[in-house]
Amino acid sequence: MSVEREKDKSKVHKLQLKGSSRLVAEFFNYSINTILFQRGVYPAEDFTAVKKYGLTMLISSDDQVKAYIKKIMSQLDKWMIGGKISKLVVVITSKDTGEHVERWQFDVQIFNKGGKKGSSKRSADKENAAPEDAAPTPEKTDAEIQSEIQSIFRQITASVTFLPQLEGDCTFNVLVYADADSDVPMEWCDSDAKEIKNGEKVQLRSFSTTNHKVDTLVSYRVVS
Amino acid sequence: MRAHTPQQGNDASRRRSSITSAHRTSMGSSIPRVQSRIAAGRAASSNQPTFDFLTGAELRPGSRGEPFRQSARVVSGGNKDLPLFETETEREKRHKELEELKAEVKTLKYTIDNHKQEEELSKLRQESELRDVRRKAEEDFKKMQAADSEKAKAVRQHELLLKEVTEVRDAASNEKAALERRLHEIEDGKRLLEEEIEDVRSEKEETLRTIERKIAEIESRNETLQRTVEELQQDSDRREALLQDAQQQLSEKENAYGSLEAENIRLKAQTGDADTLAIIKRELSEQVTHIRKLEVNNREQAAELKHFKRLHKAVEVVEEEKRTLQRKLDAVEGLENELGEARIQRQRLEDEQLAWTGFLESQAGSDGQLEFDSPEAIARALVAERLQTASLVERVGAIEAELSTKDSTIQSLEEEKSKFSEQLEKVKSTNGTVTNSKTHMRLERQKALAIKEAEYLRAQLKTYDTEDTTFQPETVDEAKIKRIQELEDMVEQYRGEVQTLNTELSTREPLPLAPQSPAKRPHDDSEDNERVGQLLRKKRKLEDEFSTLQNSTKLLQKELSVTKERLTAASQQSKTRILSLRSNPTSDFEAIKLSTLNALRQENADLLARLLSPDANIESVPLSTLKASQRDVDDAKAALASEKKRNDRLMKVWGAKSTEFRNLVISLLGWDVVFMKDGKMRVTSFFYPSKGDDENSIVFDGEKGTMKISGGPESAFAVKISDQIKFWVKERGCIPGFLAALTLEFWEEANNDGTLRVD
Repeated sequence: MSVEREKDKSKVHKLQLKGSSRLVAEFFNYSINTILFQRGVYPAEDFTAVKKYGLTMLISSDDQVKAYIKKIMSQLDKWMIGGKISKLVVVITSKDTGEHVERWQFDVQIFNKGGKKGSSKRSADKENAAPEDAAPTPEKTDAEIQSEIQSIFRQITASVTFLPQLEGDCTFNVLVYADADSDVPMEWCDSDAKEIKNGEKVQLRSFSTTNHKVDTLVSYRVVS
Repeated sequence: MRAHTPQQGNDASRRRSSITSAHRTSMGSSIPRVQSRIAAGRAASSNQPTFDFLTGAELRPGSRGEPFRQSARVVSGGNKDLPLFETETEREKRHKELEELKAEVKTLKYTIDNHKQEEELSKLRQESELRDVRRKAEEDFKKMQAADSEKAKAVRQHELLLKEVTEVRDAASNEKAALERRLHEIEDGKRLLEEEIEDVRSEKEETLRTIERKIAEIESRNETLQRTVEELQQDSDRREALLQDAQQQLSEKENAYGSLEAENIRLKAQTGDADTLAIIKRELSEQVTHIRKLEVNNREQAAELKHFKRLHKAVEVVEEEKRTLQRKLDAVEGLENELGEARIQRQRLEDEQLAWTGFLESQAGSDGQLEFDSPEAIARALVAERLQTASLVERVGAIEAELSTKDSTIQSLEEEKSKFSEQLEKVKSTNGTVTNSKTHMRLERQKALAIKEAEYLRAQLKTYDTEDTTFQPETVDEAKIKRIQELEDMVEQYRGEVQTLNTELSTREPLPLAPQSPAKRPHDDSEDNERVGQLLRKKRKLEDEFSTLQNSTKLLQKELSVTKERLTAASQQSKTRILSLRSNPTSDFEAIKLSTLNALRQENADLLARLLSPDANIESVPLSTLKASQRDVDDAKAALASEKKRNDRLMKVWGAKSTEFRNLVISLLGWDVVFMKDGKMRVTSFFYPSKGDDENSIVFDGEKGTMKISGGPESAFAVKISDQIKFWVKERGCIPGFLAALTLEFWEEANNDGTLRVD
């Protein structure tokens, strides 16, 4: 009996993980689009309005951008389900100077990685680190998660007020922090972190599902 | 005007028709009726006899007062001719008045009759109307009955239809579920296929890579083969040249032989000398043999050449094989080198391990078990030991310091002691020897005297005793004995006291050494000392504990740092990779920028060169400038394209909005409105759509204010709506009303068609 139940549980867990991963990937999709719109990386008429999360979201209708984001998302889905992602970063780069002016970082924490990973790496510290990992995660309803996501998007929209004006034309890039042992397709390559030197950082809200927690952080170049 | 449709059984239509009929009566037919009534009135008035019965004169219509006046005038005219008396005239007058009155009565009677006639006429008319109305009512009633029956029928039909609809809906939902199931299956299949495709693609890539490698190998082999073939050809060319040389020689020799033979013949002819002939013959035969030899040689060489050629080919193959083998050998050598290195490394590591294990075994504990199972454990133990030793050394240092202070105090104490003993000696030598011995002697003497006295007294006592016993044996005995006994006791006491004093004295002699230091108060200190000792013990224990704890913390710190290092190393190994798509917008833009920069540089350089060159031709520009301008053109084209894209997007938005608007108009007003050029607008009824070539639409021109019906004024549609046009547009000039009326009409038709079709 108990074994069966365990099996069921693991199945449920798998399902949850999959759904949660999809949710997080979807969130990334919309946040990239929102950042592109809010920061004026592409002209406003390139975007079309879509209802999502109880908000009106703007999605790019530029074919190239759409193709690029779709490519990223398709791969991201796989990595998310495999639990290989630790960060997703959107870097906005000035076209004129090539400097990185803004960096939106989404930290992904995965709960209950299943013990198959990391146990060999930290054997000594395991006992100390165990309690906080094993913290019970209370079940959240979809509505709660959605409201959390909603507030993040509101914050992203509101952050336009304190972020410095982007000067000149800008372009963007998406970086993914993946584990070293993850499968990397041919069209992906290694990149540097594209950190902003002496930038200011602002921590935004976070949201969490049953399996993932996503923190949002924006760092930007200070114009002296 | 509307066509009346009595055969229509529909409720609404009947209502409509009743409305229209009412409307018509109010608007159209009622007006004429009023007119006719007036006309009838007029006719009636004109029917009144215009002839005056009394006067015979014609009465003028419209003025009633005139006949009286006229008749009066006529009468007065008659009176003028016959003059009469007053009375007669009066009577005449009265008579006349009477006549007049009678005439008046007659006229009144006539009018009353007239009115009566009229009343009857109207009554008749009314009756006929009533009959009409009754008939109509009956008809209506019949119609209503028919409509009711039809309605019942329709309801039945409606129920049937509803049933059918539910059935259809069920079927549709079942079908939908099945389709969804199939969709799921198909999706699954699709996913499987996609995976397969992915597999196949990877396989394909692999095979492609291997094929490319093979192709490269084959090409290299081909090249080498070609080279060898060329060499061989050169070789054969050389040989052929040799052969040709030989053949040429041969031909020369043959020529020479021919010439010689000719000479011979000539000589024969000339001289006929046999000797010379013989010589010549010999020479000739020699020549022939030589030539033969050469030919044979030549043949042999050709054969050899063929053989060599064959051999060469084989050799080529072999060489190719050899080359591949050489390559393999090289690789093998590299591998061997690597293997050697690896072996050496392994050997080294094994040695190291052996040394470690040996060391560890030698370190094995008494119970035969290894205390440490790895160098790491040893290192850890070593670190622990080191820390312990460090702490011990520290403690030793502290103890030594303590010791030295204690030594110094001991020394000072010893010094003090020696000083005191010296003092004591001095005191003893000065004091003790004189006074003590004197008193001692005196005491001894006293003691001896006392003992003597005691013995003397005892003797005396004995004598008394004997006396007593002899003289009065039983009287004094008790008291005396008691007394004696008391005295003896006293003596004994005294003696004991002396003894104790003596012992005390003797003990006193060595004792004075102990209380040497005046500062110490031995009696007071004893408790304090105990307490201090306890405290000291406690302190020492705590210090010990402290030091062990310090050791352990240090050990832990060390371990922590070591683990941290290891952790960083491990994390360095398993560092997360930062990945990005190869073709991301940033890199794309960078690439464009770079290429533009390069092109500009090239252009600049070319222009500079053109300018600086001596035969400067300023008229023409370098090719790179042309390219640059072409690039500019491309940029402009791209900008144009983006602008177009934007335009398209706006158009799309506008189109979506306009279709939304049109749909709104259709749903609200029932007219499909199409905006055309020049402010024209074509409307088509939603309920009466165009069928095939017959376009049922009306075109309004906003500028000219005209209205055109499709197909011209003679088309079916125009004929169909001509009544409405006449009524609404021409008579009332109200286009919205016209359109609304058309909508109503078309709606009815459409719906009736629907019900009829079902029937």
